[in-house]
Amino acid sequence: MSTITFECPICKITRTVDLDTSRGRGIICASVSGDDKCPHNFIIFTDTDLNIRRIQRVDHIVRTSDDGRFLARGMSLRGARKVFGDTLVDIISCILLKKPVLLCDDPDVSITLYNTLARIFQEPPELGRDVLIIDDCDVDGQDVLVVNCRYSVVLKGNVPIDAHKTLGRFIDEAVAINDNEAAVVFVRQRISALQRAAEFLVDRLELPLYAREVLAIVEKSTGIRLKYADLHAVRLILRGLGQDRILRNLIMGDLDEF
Amino acid sequence: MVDWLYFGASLLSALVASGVGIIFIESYIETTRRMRLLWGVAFLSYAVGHFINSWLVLFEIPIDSGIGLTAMWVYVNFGGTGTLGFLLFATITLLKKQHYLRWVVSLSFMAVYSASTALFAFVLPGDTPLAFFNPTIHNNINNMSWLVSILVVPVALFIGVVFLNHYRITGLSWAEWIGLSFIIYTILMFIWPVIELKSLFYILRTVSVFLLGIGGVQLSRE
Repeated sequence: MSTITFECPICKITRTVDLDTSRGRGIICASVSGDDKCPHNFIIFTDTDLNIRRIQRVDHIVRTSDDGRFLARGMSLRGARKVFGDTLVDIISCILLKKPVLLCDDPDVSITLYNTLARIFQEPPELGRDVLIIDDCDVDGQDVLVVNCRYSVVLKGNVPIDAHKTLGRFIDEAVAINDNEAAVVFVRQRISALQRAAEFLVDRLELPLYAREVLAIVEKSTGIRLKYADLHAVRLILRGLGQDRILRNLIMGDLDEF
Repeated sequence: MVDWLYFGASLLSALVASGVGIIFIESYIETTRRMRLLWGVAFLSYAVGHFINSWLVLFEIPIDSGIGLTAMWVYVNFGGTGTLGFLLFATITLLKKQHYLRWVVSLSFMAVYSASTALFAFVLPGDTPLAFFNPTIHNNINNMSWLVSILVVPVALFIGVVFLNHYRITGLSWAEWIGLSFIIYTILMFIWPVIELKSLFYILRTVSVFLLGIGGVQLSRE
């Protein structure tokens, strides 16, 4: 555990925060809540050498936990879609698959993007583990998705495209809403529905069933109404959970490439 | 006198097939899925065949004349070899990933179809014993027509079954419409060469193309 000292950019009072640098790689973050002397709340982003990379003021600490997941505002969902295009869908797919995403070359953009990503998941990806932010894009021998945030391009890593149709639709429907909060909630609700359906299938899909039967059972039991294409996204989540048996039991059609 | 039912049904089939072809090509542009491009080309080919047939009917060109027989051969090849060859290629690709298999099967079908229809239309005499599959009057046009039925039935049935099976597994209604249209088309092949049932054939064929159109529209909107 290390202690970082910094000056509040608003009231100039010296603040301290304890940080577990062994928790992750690259840039990690910690929350700093207001106190009697300084009422301001921050999320502080540092690298593992304890160099402060960003101090981000937040209205209030929306969420804190021991493993370092906080929700701060990033760019709007529409902005992220515009800036990153289909790479945004690639990144979300990898997070659902539990494949680490490495954002590099521009920490400022990376942190902003991470903040956006963190808000569209009910359980935000952990910075330093699920999402890594480092300066250098040269990563060897690791199964990660490397995204150069300076140019918004995928440099390395296989991107699972199973869920692209569904995720792309969610995002495009969301950004059509002229309200970023609503757009974020829209995507979070739909991703949560996919995750809930996957969890349900892990518990219940004991025997092989056709996709249309699975859709009917999921709707009847959970109230979640999915489209057939959404099952590809559910399968991606199941792959991330290592549920090979459930994947085999969920029988999909042959004409999915059509 | 112009057979207006025949002409209207052929023209309508051509127009609907053109629409379906354009829908699939638009869908290809949106999704960049090559299968949809193949289907678009296949249905435009089907439309070309039916436009040719409409022209034959409208101008009352005898189909047993030189130009009539040639135009019929072009029609059944655009509507059969072209359409089903492309569709067969596209459908096999979805089932089997071996590249050689789809080429071998599709090209074999197209080669056999084109060569054998040309043989029965232009080379062999009308009363050739090789046209044993023709239970009606033996002449070039009937021999070719019955041969087309024999070649088209297994391919159309295969495509129909594949799509209906996809509907059974997924519940996607576009697969049901497309599958049904091919099953109806398969059944139609048995009455196509029967002259007494021509009117029924034209009506049902137009219905089958419409079903395909419904499936195509649903697919493109998915």
